[in-house]
Amino acid sequence: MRRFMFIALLVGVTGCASSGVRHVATVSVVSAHAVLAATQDTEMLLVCGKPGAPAAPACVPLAEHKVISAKLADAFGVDVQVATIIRDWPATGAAPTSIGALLGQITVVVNYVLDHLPPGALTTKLLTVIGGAK
Amino acid sequence: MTFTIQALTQWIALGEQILNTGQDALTAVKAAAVAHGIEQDTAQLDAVILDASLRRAMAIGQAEANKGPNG
Repeated sequence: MRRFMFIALLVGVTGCASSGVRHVATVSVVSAHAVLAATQDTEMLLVCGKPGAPAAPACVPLAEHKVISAKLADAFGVDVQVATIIRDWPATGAAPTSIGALLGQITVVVNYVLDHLPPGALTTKLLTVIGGAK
Repeated sequence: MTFTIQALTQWIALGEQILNTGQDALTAVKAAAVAHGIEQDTAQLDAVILDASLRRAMAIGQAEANKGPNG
């Protein structure tokens, strides 16, 4: 079972706001977004029947693609939410406590998609790019 | 959703930049925001919000489509 875990860059964040802490949070969400986007792009290339996609069983069945897409839609919604929280984080305010949990929700979706991608060159490339492991 | 880039002319220039250079939208939005004096982290976050919103819309379309990915 493939697993991907975002590095908990916010571990040890103090309650004191500083430009450094906000920057770390920004890097975290930018990284999470990049992983989620790469996962979506790879899955789209592997949908059965799409030009260039491998033949079954090395492709993602349409029914599963719809399930995955629904989960990705939720994950990108969380992505927007956490990026907005960080962007709107006041300079004098304490670090928002919800960021870690929200990033965790994105991780769950990424791992679900990884578990449902068929083995092959594109999946291997994705794992290499995002640092996941089987 | 609010954007820190407001002017219509800036959006047109951004669109032309993307079309003419092949630069991906995320990078182009960030570069344009920074060029207009917007703090880099804020520009990054705005770019993420924009790209994530577009991708969410695409995912919703895929989840609700009655046909395959090519319509």
